[in-house]
Amino acid sequence: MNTRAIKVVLAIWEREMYEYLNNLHINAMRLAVEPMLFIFIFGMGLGNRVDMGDVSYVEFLAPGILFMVVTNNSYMTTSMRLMIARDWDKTLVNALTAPVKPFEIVLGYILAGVTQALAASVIFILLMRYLLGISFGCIPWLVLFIVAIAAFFSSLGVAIAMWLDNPHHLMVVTSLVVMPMSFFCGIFMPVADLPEWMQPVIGAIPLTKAVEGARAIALATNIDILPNLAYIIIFTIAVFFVSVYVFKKKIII
Amino acid sequence: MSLAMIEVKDLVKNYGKHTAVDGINFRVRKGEIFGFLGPNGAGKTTTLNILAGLSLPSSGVATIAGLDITKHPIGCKKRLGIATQDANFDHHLNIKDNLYYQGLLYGLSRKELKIRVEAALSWAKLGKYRKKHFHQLSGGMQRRLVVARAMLSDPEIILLDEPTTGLDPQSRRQVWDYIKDLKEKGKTVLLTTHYMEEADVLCDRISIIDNGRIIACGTPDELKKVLNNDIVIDIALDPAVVNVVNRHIEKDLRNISGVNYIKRSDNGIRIGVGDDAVIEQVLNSIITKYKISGINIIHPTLEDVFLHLTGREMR
Ligand SMILES: Nc1ncnc2c1ncn2[C@@H]1O[C@H](COP(=O)(O)OP(=O)(O)OP(=O)(O)O)[C@@H](O)[C@H]1O
Ligand SMILES: [Mg+2]
Repeated sequence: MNTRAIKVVLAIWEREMYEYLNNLHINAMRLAVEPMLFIFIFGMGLGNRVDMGDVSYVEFLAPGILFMVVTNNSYMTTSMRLMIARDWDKTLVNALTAPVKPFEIVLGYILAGVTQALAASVIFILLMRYLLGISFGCIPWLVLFIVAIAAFFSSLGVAIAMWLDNPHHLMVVTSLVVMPMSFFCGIFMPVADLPEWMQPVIGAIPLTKAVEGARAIALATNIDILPNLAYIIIFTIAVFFVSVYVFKKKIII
Repeated sequence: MSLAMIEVKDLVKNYGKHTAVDGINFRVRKGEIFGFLGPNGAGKTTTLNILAGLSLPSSGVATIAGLDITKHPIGCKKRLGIATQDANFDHHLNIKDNLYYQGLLYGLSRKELKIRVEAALSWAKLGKYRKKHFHQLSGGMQRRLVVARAMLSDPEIILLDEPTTGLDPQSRRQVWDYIKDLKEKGKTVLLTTHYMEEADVLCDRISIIDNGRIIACGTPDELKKVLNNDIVIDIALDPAVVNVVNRHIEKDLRNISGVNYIKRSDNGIRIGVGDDAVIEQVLNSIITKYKISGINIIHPTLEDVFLHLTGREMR
């Protein structure tokens, strides 16, 4: 990538971050309240009736909710903002009249999605540590997983938003594809508890690999997490190229 | 021969089975205002979008300053600023920030960019509206802002897609002044319009486009020459004697060369002449001999040219 390309990526990123910080009061509420609601309702309410063996249900749940936070703050923001830029403000067309390549615009959006997911993760991790005394283990490893999954879901957000022409359809796809991932990918219960035929399917989803990895980091179990990370990265790269392809196809007609 | 800033050869654009642009050829020279005149759906926007890299040609070649647009999109876009038909402003940002974030994509330093944004706003006389949002501006201000944004990167070539559509006559004239100013700054301008008058006033050369084809190209005067009878002189006569007098006039005028046709009517006579010099001759020979109640001289417009070429009114 040359200087021009880097400047374009950063320009898109700066615009998105400006929007994010401008709406910090709304974002902060979402960042702090939403995941904590899940922790309180499921972790502390229902969780008292759940037996997870050695660990409490909240300790089991925390790494899972962390990745729900990452998913929401990368996929949702990227797909919504991109759809607005394409259909509502139509600024996406403008951006493309500048000396830019579609690839660089997509990368800018993904970078903004990753940044927002990281910010949300930091807030969640701090709240958990200082409110409930729950820690997440080796943070540098965790950050690698967060960045990889955030990039994956940001790319997915770009691909789906560009593929669909209608914000209503986006909501439907989100609630039929992305939301169920939160329920099945090991966030609330171990994948091993799912019906046997579902397990290979769910196990193949990158989010499952991330939750598994994060839980291993947090609970310091002896699982090799490197394959999980590699698996996610390969998927992310693939989805990134798909998203650039769909973006080009849809916008340059 | 002056350099072609834009050159288009056999350009075709199909949308499925529909051909929006059907093999057009034209070149825009450095420093001129070139007009693309045509009715709704003629293919004007499609052509501009192809030049701006927003759309891919189905076949044919287009070059910007000698660079092929499909092979060197970045090089082409660096030389190009476009004011698209839709305004495309970010609803969440004021107009200053809108310009800022667009300029950022051109890789300008922040300092340089801030200077350019201010310069663009003051050029469009919108400096004191910098904190307003796009929808809070009047139609005329909006169009000025869109043109100013196209100039932000100081490109050599500016594409303006219907810069004055929907404006009242006064705001339209104002925008014209801005477009003329672009030419004074040495820019090459390609604009589209469906206003004949606009093309006539602004453009050095015009292509008339209809159904995706260029049906005529030339200076406004050249195009008007397409019509055989350049100028129409309408003379009204006293109704009491009209039928006698107009026969006399007809006889008198037969000997004047340059008179292309004479048509008698119930309230006077209509004369078609080749150029301005003949008008005087015709009028002299009539006014001195007959009592007339009115004269109306009608110069041909591009409207007539369009009618002549297509057999249809433009709108
Ligand atoms: N994305 C598209 N898909 C299919 N057809 C299209 C598309 N864009 C334009 N067309 C068709 O191509 C033709 C030319 O459209 P274009 O927008 O270039 O016309 P125009 O000369 O700019 O008209 P106007 O004066 O209304 O702006 C029209 O028949 C239009 O319906
Ligand atoms: Mg148009």
